[in-house]
Amino acid sequence: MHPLFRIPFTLVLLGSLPMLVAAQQDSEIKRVKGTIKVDGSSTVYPITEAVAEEFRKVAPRVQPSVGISGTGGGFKRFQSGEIDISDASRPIKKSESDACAKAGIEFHEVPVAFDGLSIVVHPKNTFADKLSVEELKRIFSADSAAKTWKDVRSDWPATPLKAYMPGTDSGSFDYFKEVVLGKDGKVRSDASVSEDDNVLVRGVAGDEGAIGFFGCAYYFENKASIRAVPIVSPKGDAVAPSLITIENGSYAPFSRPLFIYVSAKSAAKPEIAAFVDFYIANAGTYAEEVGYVRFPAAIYARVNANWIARKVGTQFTDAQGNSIVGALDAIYK
Amino acid sequence: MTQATLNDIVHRGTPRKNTARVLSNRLFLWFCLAGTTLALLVLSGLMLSILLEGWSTLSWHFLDSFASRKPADSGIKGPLWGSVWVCILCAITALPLGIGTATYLEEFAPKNRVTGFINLNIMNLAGVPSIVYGIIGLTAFARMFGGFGSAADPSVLVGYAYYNEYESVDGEVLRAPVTTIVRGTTVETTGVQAALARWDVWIAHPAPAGPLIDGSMVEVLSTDEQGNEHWRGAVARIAEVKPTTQDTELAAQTVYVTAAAAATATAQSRDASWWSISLPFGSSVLAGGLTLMLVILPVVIISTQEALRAVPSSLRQGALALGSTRWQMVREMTLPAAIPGIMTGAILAMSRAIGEAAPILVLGGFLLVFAVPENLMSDFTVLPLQIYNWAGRPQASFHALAAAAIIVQLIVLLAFNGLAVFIRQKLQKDLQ
Repeated sequence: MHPLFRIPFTLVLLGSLPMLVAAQQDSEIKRVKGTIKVDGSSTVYPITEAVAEEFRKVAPRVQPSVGISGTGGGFKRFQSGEIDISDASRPIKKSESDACAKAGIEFHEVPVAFDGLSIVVHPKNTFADKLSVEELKRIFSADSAAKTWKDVRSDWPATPLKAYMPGTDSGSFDYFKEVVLGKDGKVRSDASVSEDDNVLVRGVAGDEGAIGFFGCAYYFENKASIRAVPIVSPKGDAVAPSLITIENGSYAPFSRPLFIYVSAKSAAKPEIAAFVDFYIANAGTYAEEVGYVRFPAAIYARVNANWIARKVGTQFTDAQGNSIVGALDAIYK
Repeated sequence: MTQATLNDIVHRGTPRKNTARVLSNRLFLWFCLAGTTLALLVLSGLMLSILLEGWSTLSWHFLDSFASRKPADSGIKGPLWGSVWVCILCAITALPLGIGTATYLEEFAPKNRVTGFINLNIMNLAGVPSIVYGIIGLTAFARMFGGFGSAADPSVLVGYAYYNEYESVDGEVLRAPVTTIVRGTTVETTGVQAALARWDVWIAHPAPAGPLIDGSMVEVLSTDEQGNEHWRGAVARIAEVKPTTQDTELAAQTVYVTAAAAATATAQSRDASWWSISLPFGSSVLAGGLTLMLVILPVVIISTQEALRAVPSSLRQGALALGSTRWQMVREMTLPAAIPGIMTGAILAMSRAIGEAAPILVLGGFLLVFAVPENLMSDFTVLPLQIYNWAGRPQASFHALAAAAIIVQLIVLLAFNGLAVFIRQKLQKDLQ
């Protein structure tokens, strides 16, 4: 056989190796039993819910329990050793990791997926070439509540502006509000609200003066009928949402990584280790299923390597205790 | 005075000339009727919309499966049984405590400033938002003020059975009971030979106390004159037990067991009985039940006090005059006479308990559980939490699930209240 032909064969053989290993692991996982306590962010909850549900199918004797105390509430329980895994929609804060250290709790930091928001307009709206957070505030704040596009930027036409947004129960709404209006800001009351993102897509697609926001996954699925406006990032350049700009962190401030934090003590238990293995292996798939953006394979490989090495501590706080902001790819090694 | 006699007086007894009085009487009747009708309309409207939305989702599958991210696969097995456990625990703690407190305050305690102050405080507590009780429950029950370590590593464990686990060569987990255990140490079971798939075991003379069952211990004891080895190890499964004919004197048996692959225990596990308790309670059903007990205790106390006050004092005086002690008087006269009022209060209190989500959320109750509570220390979730979560989701199919869960919650509530009514009827009959 020509040596060149051998390569695919070797690849096939190499490719089937993990399957063999996986088959053996499957039978091991089936025997693992125990409980897993997870609590924290309600934003991460849908991913953890999906992972827990599917994990039960491979490890029927393990009983995961998942709560929604919020990122801060989850870390509080994590510090007191009440839970094994903490869901978080932001990296752990210095004060929280200090509290963990004080309580003698070491942790593994596991990024799982990106949460991204896209700000969209009708495709015929070509004048809105970019929007800054300040301009978004002018549109969505209850105080200004721009009536026409001219109110947003004076050289834009006086087309009536209609706002579309997800309901106040959704994580997307909370995220948008926090970035644009701050914790105490009030959102304009005359916006069209729907919990169903498809309704928002149809609304924006059918109204030339419309603007709306929702999870990036829905924009990617409906690129033909709506246009995403590039957002002026803190660095000053206007960036449109795409898999690339979300992955490299340049689409800011509307993309953020989501995490789970695993207690090192719990990670020594086979049921927790198996659960986290399963989580990392399937995070991308289930994250996409519930509307988030998966990491590039290279990052998942890094996550997995760090997990296998059981690397402890956070990579998002520098030596002086300041939190590091920027692209996940650049920070997370 | 009954309704019939009141109406008789209203319609026959009043002089018709006195139009202002008659008019105001009519107005009041209409006002009451309008109030009742409005309440009924709103209630039936709500019930109807819930029934319409949730009825089609209601099925055995819905009752018998755990929550899922896919609405069609989703069910309420976890929260349903969580609610039942929590409510039963709440009832059996709150009712005796509350009725006892009220009886003491009304029948035994002297009426002075101290009891007045206590009464005032109970009144105030009835108005405290339930989320505050959740915080108290978290500190007092779930964490026990940090006095017993954390919930993950409880310092006091009562009612658990401990096992050493071995992995057998067949891939089974063998469990050998450990009789005594010191916290934080690994106890090794001796003599389980490595790498033997199956072997015959002679049980030494005298035979181990008690019957040989799955999971019992066999140990290497000795080799007898015939060369038979006597073993002790972890018996996973007894394939066959037959008395040997050769040596009846020894009463020996041949037992086939599955052997452990390694002599050291791979893990330790513990089994809980339903009453097993560890301190602190953590966010367990017991902590949940006790927290809800705090929420409804003031309501139970106040309604019991009111019911006791409504018992005519002539009954008490009669009993005391006949020479009964205070306890006899309370047991035979006042409490039975007050039972209808007390049970009504209990129904209202339990209805409140079953509908509470906030204190459970603060306590650290989970939302997604894949197990029905099995003991007092189990993780749990409750129906109101699940309803709150489903109702807040974007997809309409989850709203239908929420509606169906509300129907189930109403049925559970009716069942509890039916039980209370039954108890009331039963106890009333005894009085007569």
